[in-house]
Amino acid sequence: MTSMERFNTAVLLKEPDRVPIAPLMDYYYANCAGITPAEYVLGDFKIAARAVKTTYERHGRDLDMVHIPIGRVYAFYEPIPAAHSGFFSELNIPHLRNGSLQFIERPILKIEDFKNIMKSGFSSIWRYVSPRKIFRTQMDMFKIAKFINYWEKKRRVPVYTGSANITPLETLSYLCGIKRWSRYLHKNREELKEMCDFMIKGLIANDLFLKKLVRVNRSYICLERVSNNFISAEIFEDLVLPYIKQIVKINNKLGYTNLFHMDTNWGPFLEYFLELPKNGRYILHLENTDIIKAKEILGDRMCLMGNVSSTILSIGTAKEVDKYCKRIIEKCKEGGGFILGSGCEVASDAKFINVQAMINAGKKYGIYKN
Amino acid sequence: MRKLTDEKLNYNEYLNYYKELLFGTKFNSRKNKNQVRLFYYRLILWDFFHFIYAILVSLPYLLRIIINATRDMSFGIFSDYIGLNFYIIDRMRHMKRNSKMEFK
Repeated sequence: MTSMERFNTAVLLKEPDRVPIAPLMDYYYANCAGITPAEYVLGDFKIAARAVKTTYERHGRDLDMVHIPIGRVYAFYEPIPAAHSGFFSELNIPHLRNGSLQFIERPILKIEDFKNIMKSGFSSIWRYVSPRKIFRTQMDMFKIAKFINYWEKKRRVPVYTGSANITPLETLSYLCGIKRWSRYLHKNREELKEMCDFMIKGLIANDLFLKKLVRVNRSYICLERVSNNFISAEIFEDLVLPYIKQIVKINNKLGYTNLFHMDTNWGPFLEYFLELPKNGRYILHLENTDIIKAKEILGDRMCLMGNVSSTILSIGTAKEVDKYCKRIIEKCKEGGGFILGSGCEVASDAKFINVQAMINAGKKYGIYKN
Repeated sequence: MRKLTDEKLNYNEYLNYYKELLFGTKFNSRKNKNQVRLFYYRLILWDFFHFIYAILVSLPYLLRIIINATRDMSFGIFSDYIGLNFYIIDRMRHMKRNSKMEFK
């Protein structure tokens, strides 16, 4: 089976030859290829693309998924706040190895500004970004499309995603800052709702155009600050779930696989995902959520991906990684619909032997009998 | 896997949503539309001048390429005749470069 077939079989909730091994990587590529984050972000796209290839080769071509070097796109081109972006946050690009790009998040939006944003759009709060860099990054989009074509069509290795979508409430947390945002959630719910209604269609539109440009059939939906760790079930029902349903509805209509990138703990909210339409395909990429519990609740409806902790991969031992992988594979692989991945992203300073131990564990314990 | 389809989607509508998120609800106002139009006119004009400038700068090099290319080629009698003229001009320039004589 090729990596693509293996991955897609798991998404369709069937059993492939073995569990797909798909840790999500970004700055780890830079570290593994021996280049600095600055070279990875500021250098030519070829350098970053070569880092991906080098990492894939160094790990014995056993990775069943690669990822585009997305940090560089967010740094200089994301004119709407669909992710942390250089258009809205200050950047810190480390020149030392083992680091990763940092967005310095400062509160730039107040509740009084919402009306103005609706009138003048997010361009009214842009920071200055060098036009040369914007142009270069825009041109990179064509190179990214070529990169995706190379991996998906020629090498038959799936690419994690090529687009980014987010729930409006979460994006407001980036712009307002957590402290102010939490206060608004309790005092200004109506205004937040109005703003979310304004934003959602534009966010979906941006996502649609990106997907059309890069041609990956997985639609990435970021769910980080709208989990149980940050908001109550009541707020989730009111300000998050309806927008997730809107995003999912359009993805299902167009035939995309919904890829939920779910950081932090989603345990108490997992049952809400049963409300999503049954006609769609879903991947839940979990971080700190108990994946075994998620398998019990959603295993027959959605494919689960995760969740080898980045901490173990960074500071643990190969033996610990093996033990952890063995446990989750044995509990989750039955019946298919499971992809062995990292919890969120493999840390930039993760140890090579630990990532290799994860791959070996996937190959050792993940074989299906049929 | 199911094939992707976008038959049922009106992308123009979504482009407007995207514009609205970037530039707000006033983006489609008459005044703003004129500003955007002006931006595109300026861009086209600038590109046009840049194009002419690029041709002028590269003209000598283009001629040189044509001369070199036609030197060993045969394009029929009439074309050869024209090509020969280019060749003669080139020879002259060559002579001027290599000779210490003063040409008037």
